[in-house]
Amino acid sequence: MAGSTPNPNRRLPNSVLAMIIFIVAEIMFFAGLISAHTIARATVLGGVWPPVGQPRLPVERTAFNTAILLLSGALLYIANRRARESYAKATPYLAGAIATGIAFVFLQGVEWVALLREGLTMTSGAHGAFFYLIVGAHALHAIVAIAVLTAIYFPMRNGSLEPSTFTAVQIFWYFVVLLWPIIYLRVYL
Amino acid sequence: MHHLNRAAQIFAALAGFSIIPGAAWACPACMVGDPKTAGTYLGMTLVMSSLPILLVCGLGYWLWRRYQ
Repeated sequence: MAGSTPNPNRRLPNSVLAMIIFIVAEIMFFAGLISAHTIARATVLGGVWPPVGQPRLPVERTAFNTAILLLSGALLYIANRRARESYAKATPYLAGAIATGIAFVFLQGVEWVALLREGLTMTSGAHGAFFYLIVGAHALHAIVAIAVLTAIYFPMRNGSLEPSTFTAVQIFWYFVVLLWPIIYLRVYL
Repeated sequence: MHHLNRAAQIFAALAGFSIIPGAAWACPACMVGDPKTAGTYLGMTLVMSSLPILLVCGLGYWLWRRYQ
């Protein structure tokens, strides 16, 4: 029965499996938010979204911000490829991924301040409520993910980082990065 | 014979129930408004119903393949 013995090299680390299960739950969470937004948008009076009198969202600036976040995901992917050779080669790319991630959150914050000044708030209507809820939930995930990326930066630089921990953190960041274009398409356009 | 009559009664009752959902519709909002709105409700219902099944089955299948 040697053929039925699981290959130890293919065993999924607990941290990676836990992260995948967590991401599955997160996908359902965001699917619920986007589904509710889609229905609110389809049933709005007059059929115009954003509703009349509500500020328009900065589509072009956010497209640039989207590109920054995608760049961050690409840098982390390169860091993963370099890490197969050595952590020393991967560290600059991980730092780049963290820096571009911080830039994304910062530019989102600038955008929020401008929208708040224009009168778009959580209580100004369904448009504002959905915008801050969905984009805010994503921003919260991005901040946590950046904190975790920063937390693994130093162990990676010292060469003491567990590969399974790096994989689990990567899955989380890829989720944050790949979720954003969907939010952009559904909420901004 | 008695059992046969009983089975026929149960079958008739089930057949009667089967026509009720068509008239009642479990989703009262799915048939309101214009066709676009109804389509959005239907689409989101399908997405939210199928997504968890697809995710759990996909994860289960991937793990099963991995440990083959």
